[in-house]
Amino acid sequence: MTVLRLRPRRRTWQWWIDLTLGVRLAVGGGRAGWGRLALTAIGVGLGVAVLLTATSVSHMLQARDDHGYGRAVPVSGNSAKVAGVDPVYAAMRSSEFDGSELDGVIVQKTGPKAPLPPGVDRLPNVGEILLSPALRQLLNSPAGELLRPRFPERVIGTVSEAGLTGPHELFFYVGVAKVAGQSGAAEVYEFGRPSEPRTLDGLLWLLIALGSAALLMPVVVFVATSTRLAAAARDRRLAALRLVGADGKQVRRIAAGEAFVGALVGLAVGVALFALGRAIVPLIDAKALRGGIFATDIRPEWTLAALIVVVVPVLAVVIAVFSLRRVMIEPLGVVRRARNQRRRLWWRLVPPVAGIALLASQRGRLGDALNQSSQLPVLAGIVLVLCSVPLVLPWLVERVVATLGGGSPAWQLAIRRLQLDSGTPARVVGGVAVVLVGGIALQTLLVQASTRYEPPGEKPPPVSVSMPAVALSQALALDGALRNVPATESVTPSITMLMKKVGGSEVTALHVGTCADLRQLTTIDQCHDGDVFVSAKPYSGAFIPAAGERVSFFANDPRQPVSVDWTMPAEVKATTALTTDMGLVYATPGALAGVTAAVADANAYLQPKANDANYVEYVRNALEPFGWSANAFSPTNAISSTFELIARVLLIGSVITLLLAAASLLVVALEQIRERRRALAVLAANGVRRSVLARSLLWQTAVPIAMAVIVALVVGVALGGMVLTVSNQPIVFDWATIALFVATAVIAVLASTACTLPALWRAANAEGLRDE
Amino acid sequence: MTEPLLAAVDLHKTFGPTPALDGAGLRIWPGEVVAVMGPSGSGKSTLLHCLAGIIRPDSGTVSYQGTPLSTLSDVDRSELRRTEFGFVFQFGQLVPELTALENVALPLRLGGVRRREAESRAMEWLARLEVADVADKRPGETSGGQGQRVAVARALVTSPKVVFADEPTGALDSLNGERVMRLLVAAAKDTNAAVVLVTHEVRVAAYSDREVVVRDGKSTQVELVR
Repeated sequence: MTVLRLRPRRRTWQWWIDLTLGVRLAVGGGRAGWGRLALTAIGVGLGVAVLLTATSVSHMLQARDDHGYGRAVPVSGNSAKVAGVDPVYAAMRSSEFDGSELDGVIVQKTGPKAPLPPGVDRLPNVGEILLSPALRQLLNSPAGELLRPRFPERVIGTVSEAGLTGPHELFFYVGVAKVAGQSGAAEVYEFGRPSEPRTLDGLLWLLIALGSAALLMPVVVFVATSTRLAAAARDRRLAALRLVGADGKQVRRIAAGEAFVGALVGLAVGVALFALGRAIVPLIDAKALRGGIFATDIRPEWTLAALIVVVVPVLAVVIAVFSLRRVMIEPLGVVRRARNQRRRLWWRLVPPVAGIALLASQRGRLGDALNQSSQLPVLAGIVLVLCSVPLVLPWLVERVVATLGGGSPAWQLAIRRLQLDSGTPARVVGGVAVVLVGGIALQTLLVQASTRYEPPGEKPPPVSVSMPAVALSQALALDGALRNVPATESVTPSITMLMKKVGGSEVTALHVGTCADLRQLTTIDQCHDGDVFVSAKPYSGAFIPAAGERVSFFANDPRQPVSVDWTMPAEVKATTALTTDMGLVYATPGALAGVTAAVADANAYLQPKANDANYVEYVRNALEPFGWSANAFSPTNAISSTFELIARVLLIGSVITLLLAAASLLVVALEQIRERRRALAVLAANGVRRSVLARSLLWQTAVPIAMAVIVALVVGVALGGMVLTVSNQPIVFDWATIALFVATAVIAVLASTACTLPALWRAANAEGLRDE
Repeated sequence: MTEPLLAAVDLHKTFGPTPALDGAGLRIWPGEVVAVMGPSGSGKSTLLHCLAGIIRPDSGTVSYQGTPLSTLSDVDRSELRRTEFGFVFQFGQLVPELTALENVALPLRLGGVRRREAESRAMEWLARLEVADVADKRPGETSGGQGQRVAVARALVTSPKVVFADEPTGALDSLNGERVMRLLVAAAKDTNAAVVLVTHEVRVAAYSDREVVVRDGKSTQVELVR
């Protein structure tokens, strides 16, 4: 046998030549080639932009917290004294206007050398106010008409960016005559306090982990799908190269070069989209963004950003090379399609089985405590289970469509098409399916988490109202105003005045209320306006004034003392206090008719009828006539506020991911039409009506999406159940919301398909018959 | 010469339940033009693909210069296609993203020849095939006849020993078909390349030195009187 001697290839340059040939193929091809590259770049770019945004969330939240802490009034007590500084009395005040938060600080200067919070060059005196640009703009606009009466002060300046948490934050510093003694007031030598890290328990961490995985996995799927756009055209192209002598390794290198260009351009598009978004976001004044976001606060975590820059092209190349594994581009790909091998199931089941096993091994370990050793296995388990969707779906679609047949021409065209290539449609809906799985699992966990942080069985938290050092008439007016707050179950008012013996130091408290109010606090039976009562069981040492005794009422402010003398009535009735064993005096308003000094402290607890996030705002609105001296607040703890923040971020993330999934569908579906332009044109030329083609296109999407919904439901419910088990929560599913998710996903798919119809009309004309 | 350039013996090939070749055989000597004829579905294209090492027969042997193709690795068979063989098909073999010049230079580039040199040689072949004017055009921008002549130029640019042509004029009108065949055969004769020409057109087969008829997967030598 003769030994065949082939001419040696010039191997030194071969790698470089193959890669550059791949690059040439990616950027060549005229309009069609550029169109393909543009679609890939848009697909990858959208994914990269979302990933970069995701890596910026942590810094964004931290920067927002830092801005807030930088201007904060010390929570408890006063700040440390600073020599040469005249302290200010300051207290935070929160309100709402038209659904937007409205916050500010009431300040009372004690001298010219007042400390300055960030973004402020001078603090306001009494009757002056500093406004954030957004609040100033609002007050100057017709939309702020209802708000203007609440800000009668003279505007002396603007709070700059350094003192705000967002460009649209409604914030102010207002000079008030008397802040000392008011609720939340502190003597401030220096504004700001150190940032406190947000507290996470096991369940909250799990929520973040599941949310991040569920929101980012579809993005990765989307990037992966985008790098495989126009796979059929690429296969034909590579087959043509095989025909003229490219070997398998060369074809892989060429495909890698081609994919690399798409990913690189996509990366550039992604960075550009991110930069564009960064420039646009400060202009967005959505209520969900709570005062908006500064562009400077949107900064990706550089290590993660670097990872994205490396991983995306690598992912593209790996996927391109991996996808050739099945195709094994043969020279006859040019003239004859090789018969597809049937997909195998066993290796596709490895990730979900491993994921469920990992999650099962961590059963009950992320409940109240954040068990650090469980973090990695749980995160890996979640990712593996999510991965299973794009892996199992192509297998299932292939098996199901293989059994279908018959029906109308549109159905037949769709099914035969799916039988020929079920991989692409399965990939098209794969991203949506992953979103759906993530949504179902996330909702399941969110429902349980919300019942934990906002227990539905208990009474909703009451709202506290405080208005210190005011005239009794104002305190009584406040009492009246609070009784008219809507959705209120009960009001428990408390008007107290501190009294001491004239010339003495013993102090006691006098409670003011109507006879009905006083009956809640004491054993009073007979009562008329003008009566005064004394509790009959004073504890030892308490001062209880006698009938006709001279006493002084005083305000609890050592810097601005107010004092007024008063004589106890000649007739004082005895009673017994029900709520305390302290010696106390109780008086109806008529008994104090002559007392007009600002010596009364008004407090109240309002119990809402139901859980309503807006309830505290109703109360604040009722306080409007009383100015800055009245304050209402709803008790929340750090954990539940963190839960609210997480839930809000996840909500925004879910909307972005769903939009991205819909965009992904559209991009891939358009590419499919472009790819099949000639076949569609041939069908149209043969008299197939466009409506038949449209229905066929719909079936081609509807059948895989039906499979996707089934897979997503099974995997989503399994994942939701597993994470509930991990967090030691009862396994309960919110089927109504799950149904809503499914409906939303199906509508998103059908809407995306409908958006491709114009492209279908264009493709199905005689021009499409022209080919190479 | 005692040894054929390319020899196929007792080839069998089935696609699923459908037999394509059933004991076909053929020998090709250097410089000769052989027309493989037969009705549609007779197995003539399958025979050509087996001869070119594109598909492997189920049984039987194809030897090139005495070496059975079945003993060659994928890399070697790719090398064989790039250096020793050339291909002209009815359609679809040009890479649509590349210009005519780049398409013709492609086999040289895949062999490690630098761009300038590869394109210079490609340009010579385009001129020889009378399509130098479409050098910068992509396949979609040329006529069918021009595209086929570009494909012939690409098949011959590496100076192959065998050119496989599967219905090279099938998508062309008679005038363009004649022109492509005239140029193909002339160029092959100039370089002493053998041509294996699969066709069902007698007019095209008339350019051959001898004919082989394939019917039901079996090949029969036809003596020509020319």
